[in-house]
Amino acid sequence: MLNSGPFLLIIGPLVGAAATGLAAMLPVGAARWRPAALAGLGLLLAVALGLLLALADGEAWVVYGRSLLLTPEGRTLCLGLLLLLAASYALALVWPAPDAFVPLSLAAVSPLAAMVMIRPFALGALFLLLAAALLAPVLATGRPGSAGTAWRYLVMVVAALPLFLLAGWLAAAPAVLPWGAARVLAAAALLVLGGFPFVLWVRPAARQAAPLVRPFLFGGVQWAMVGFLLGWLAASPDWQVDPGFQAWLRWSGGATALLGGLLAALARDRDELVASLLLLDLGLGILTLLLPGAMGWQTAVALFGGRSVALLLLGAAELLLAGRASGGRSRPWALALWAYGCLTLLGLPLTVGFAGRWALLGALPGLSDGPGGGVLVGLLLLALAAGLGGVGRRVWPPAAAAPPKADVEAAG
Amino acid sequence: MTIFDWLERLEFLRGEPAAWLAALTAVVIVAAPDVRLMLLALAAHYFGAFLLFTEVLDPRLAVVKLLVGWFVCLIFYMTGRQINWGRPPVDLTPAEAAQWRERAPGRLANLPAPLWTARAGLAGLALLLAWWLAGRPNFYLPLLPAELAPLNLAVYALLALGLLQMALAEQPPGAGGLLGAGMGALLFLTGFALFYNTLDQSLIGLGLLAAVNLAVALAVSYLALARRNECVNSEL
Repeated sequence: MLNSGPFLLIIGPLVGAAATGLAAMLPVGAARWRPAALAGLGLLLAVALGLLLALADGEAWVVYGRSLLLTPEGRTLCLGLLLLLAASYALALVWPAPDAFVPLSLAAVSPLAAMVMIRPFALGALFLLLAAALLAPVLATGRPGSAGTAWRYLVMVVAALPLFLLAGWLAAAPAVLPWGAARVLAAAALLVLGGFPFVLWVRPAARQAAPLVRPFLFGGVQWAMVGFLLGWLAASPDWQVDPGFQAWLRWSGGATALLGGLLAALARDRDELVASLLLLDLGLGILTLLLPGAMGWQTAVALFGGRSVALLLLGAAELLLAGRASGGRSRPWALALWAYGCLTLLGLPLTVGFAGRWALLGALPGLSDGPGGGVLVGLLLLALAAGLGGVGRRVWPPAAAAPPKADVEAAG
Repeated sequence: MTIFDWLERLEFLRGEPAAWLAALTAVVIVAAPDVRLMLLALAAHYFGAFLLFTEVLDPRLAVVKLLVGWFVCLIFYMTGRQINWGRPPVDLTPAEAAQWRERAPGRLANLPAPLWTARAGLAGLALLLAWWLAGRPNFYLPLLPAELAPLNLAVYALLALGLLQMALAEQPPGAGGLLGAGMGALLFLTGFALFYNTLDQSLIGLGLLAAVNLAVALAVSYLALARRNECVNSEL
């Protein structure tokens, strides 16, 4: 059975999670090196699972009459998830992550993989909710307000579940709702991907999440969700060309990106800036659902891969800058790393994020007949410019104002 | 006695009485000022939901729904004990207790009425709306046989009251508030499951829905405990 990709992806992470969970219960005397031990064990398990998955031949597993199919895209996605986790755990060897992160993130790989593999697609939403229930506790870091933020994240997925299941049912049933399956799926996608108007949970979650949790939560998990949706749309191509589906995603993605850019321009601190840039990128991630077939998949890989790398860089930089009252002034290279992470998240040239950004912006105008595509690209460029302005304000703050002349003269 | 024998004895509760039982217990969950009362209502709600599930599923599968529901109640009970039902910890000094920021049952703006009366009013309105919708043929749930018409009331009421309970969660939520909001999520899922199981009775779908209920309950319990620790660490 170890040769079966689906079996490995369902059972392997759960076994790994159990092992790391048991390791987390080490006696109090081992508390000093427990975080590093957990991270090391998690790293070994993630690498081992990735290697086994790369070598596994089997692509199908039937469970209770339902199939789990591992397509090449699904395999790439799961390998990417494991690689991202391995990178996060490697950083956690140096900077301890929350104890719950390693076991719960490993455990979450199982339902995320099942979500991508299950047929019929609608059942994937149930696995998505299972994954969200595993990840919500990771968001509750003990900082004030983090439990409420984690709850909001869970609520979005709970609210989306009926829409996903309805979309699956409407695909097979006569159109009994005025919207149709495509728009129901669009609404569900916006709920789970943080698209406007369902954006309220995004920035608080980005601020509250530990720096090493963010890449997996907003990079890997979001990629898995988009991969799941793209797979479903590939099997139902009529939905992707539905005018309502296109319009809802286009304008929600654009509005989300624009909102993120504007908030980034007005950000008052680094955390707020990063959260706003992430919101901007989430909007762009939603737009990948408009791209058909292989173009959509390749753009998603580039975009979410870039986002994951950016968040890893930002996480490392924030940990380097943390605890230093002088912040970037005493560690300019850490600030430079942070700035590069922000630029990567923006997808500027000479960064890892550029490939996905270029692919998306290049493909969008061709999707619509009128000027709508051009208008959307214009709005996105405006959002990116605003985000860049926000980064500039944080990296090059204005010089301190000179003391008033009268005070100087009085002191003299 | 078998499940079928029990169902025969409870025949008088099946159909519309079970729908009203599920709906009214959901109203109690929304309106109740105390988490313990909510929990009792949740347990009764799952019993009403079980009777409704027997209309669409094999009773041996429907009883799994009941067991999962009562297990969820057990999880919430143990969590509630650990968070002292959202009240301040018992070992606080009077000065510390005075600073405790866990939300006490508040009052509605400047009105003399306690907050729970407003919640009860909203819950009553939601139930009235659900009852009105369920009575209109244009709003009957699709593919629902005529003999299962009471399910319309139950589904609409649970969806509406579940959403209402989640929406009324205080911001930021206290530990007790998170448990209450979690019950709202479970009401919402139960309402949807009642409808969805008329369309899909596959074993894997049922199993996954049951697993989802348990996972949500565990996540909510964890978050309630985490919120409790946040409050304790920030105050003491």
